[in-house]
Amino acid sequence: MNDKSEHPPGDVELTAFLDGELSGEQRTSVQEWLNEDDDVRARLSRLASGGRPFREAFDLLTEGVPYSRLEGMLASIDRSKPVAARRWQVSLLAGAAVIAAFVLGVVVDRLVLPAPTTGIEQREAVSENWRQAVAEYFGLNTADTLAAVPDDDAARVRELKAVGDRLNLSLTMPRLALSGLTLKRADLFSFDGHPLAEVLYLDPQDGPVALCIIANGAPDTAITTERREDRNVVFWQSRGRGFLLIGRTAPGKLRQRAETIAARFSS
Amino acid sequence: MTDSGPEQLRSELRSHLARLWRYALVLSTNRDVAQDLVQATCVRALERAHQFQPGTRVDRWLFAILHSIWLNELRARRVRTGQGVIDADLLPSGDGDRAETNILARQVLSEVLTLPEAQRETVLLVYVEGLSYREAAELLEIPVGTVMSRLAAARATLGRLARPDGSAVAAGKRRQ
Repeated sequence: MNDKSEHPPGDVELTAFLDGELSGEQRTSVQEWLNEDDDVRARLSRLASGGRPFREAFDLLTEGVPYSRLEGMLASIDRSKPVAARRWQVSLLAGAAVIAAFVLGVVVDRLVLPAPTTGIEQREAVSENWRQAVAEYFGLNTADTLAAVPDDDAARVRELKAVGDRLNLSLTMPRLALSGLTLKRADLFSFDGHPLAEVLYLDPQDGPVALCIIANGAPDTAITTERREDRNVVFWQSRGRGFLLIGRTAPGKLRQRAETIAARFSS
Repeated sequence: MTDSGPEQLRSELRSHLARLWRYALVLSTNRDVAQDLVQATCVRALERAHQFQPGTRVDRWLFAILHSIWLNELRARRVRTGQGVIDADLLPSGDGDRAETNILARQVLSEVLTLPEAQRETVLLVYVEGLSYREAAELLEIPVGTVMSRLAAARATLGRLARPDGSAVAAGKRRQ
C-alpha cells in the first residue's frame, strides 16, 4: 500500500517531521517521499542543519539573571494595597518629575503612563482607566503648585497650540476659558499610545481643576459624573476624543463647566 | 486559586523568575525592558491569581501573561526607543570554566537573536521550553500552522548559516 501524499511535503511539514509533530499517517507519507525523492531529502537535510543546541544557548541568558533585583521587586509588590493603586506609583514619581521639569522651565513633551491591562481589557482600559490614571496624577497638584506658575498668556497660547496640534484639535484660550478660573498651563502626555492633554486651571475657592482630553477614537457618550480619588469627575466622549473635568468643585458646578466646554467642542 | 493562592503564587513566581527573565530577554533583547516585563508579569499574575486554573501549569500561565503584556504594552515602547537593537551586554562573557562549551552556545545564541522576534519566541517555547506545537499555539493565541511556519522559517535561516557541508553547528556538534 502506498501512503505517499500526492504532493511532496513542504518545509513546514518537514520541520514538523523533524520535530516529531506529525501523525503516524503523515509521518509515513513523508518517509515515503524521503525514500524516493532527492529534492525532499535535500530540503530535509537543510532544515535539519538549521537545528541547534538551542537549550544550551538559551541557558546562557539565565546566567545573568538579576535575582536580587527581581526578588526584591517581587517582595515589594505590596500585599495590602489594591493592585490598581500600586501600579501608578511609577506614574506618581514621573508626575513629580514633570512638575520639577516645569518649574525649571523645561517643556515636557511627553510622559508615557503605563497602561494597566492587556488584550480585550486593554480596550476597556483605553475608554475607562485613563480616567483613573488622570485622577491619580491630578492628585499631585495643589493650589501652591499652580500658584507658582506665572500668568503668561503668550506662554499659554504656545503650550495650547503645541498640545492641540498633537490631538489634532484647536485649543485656544477663548475655547478653554472658564468663568472664575485662571488657566495656568497645558501639558501633553500619552496614555496607552493615545495623546492626552491636561489643561490646568486654578480656582481661588476650590483649588486646582483640570480638563483632560484624550484622542482615543472611542464612540460618543453622554456627560456623566463620578467620584475618583476623592475628587469629582465629569466625563464624556465626543468626536473621537474623551473629555474629563476634575477637581474638588461641587458636582453640580463642575458639571455646568463641563457642559460649557462640551458645547464649545461639539462641532 | 484558594485563599492561600496568592502566597502560593508568590512562591511559584520566585521559582520561575529565571525562565520569565529569559523569555523577557528573548522578546525585548534589552535588560531594562526585560526587567520591566518580568515585573509587570508578576504584578498582573498576583492581581489575577483567582483566574489561575488548578490543574494547569503555572509556568505556561505566566508565559501567556508575559507574552500578552509584551505584545500589548511594552513592545511599542521597545521598538520606539531601541528599534529592536540587541543590547551588547546581552551575551554573557566567554570566559570561565565552561569557556569551550560557551563558544558554541554563544554563537548559537547570537544567531538565534538575529531571527525575527516571532521566530525567536517560538523557538524558545518549542525547542527550549519543550511546548508542543499545539501548546505553543494556544499560549501565543495563533494557529498551529503559524507555529509550524515560524519554526520552518527559523530552521531555513539557520540552515543557510551552517557551512555548505553541514558541519557548522548542526545539532550539538561543535564547529570545526
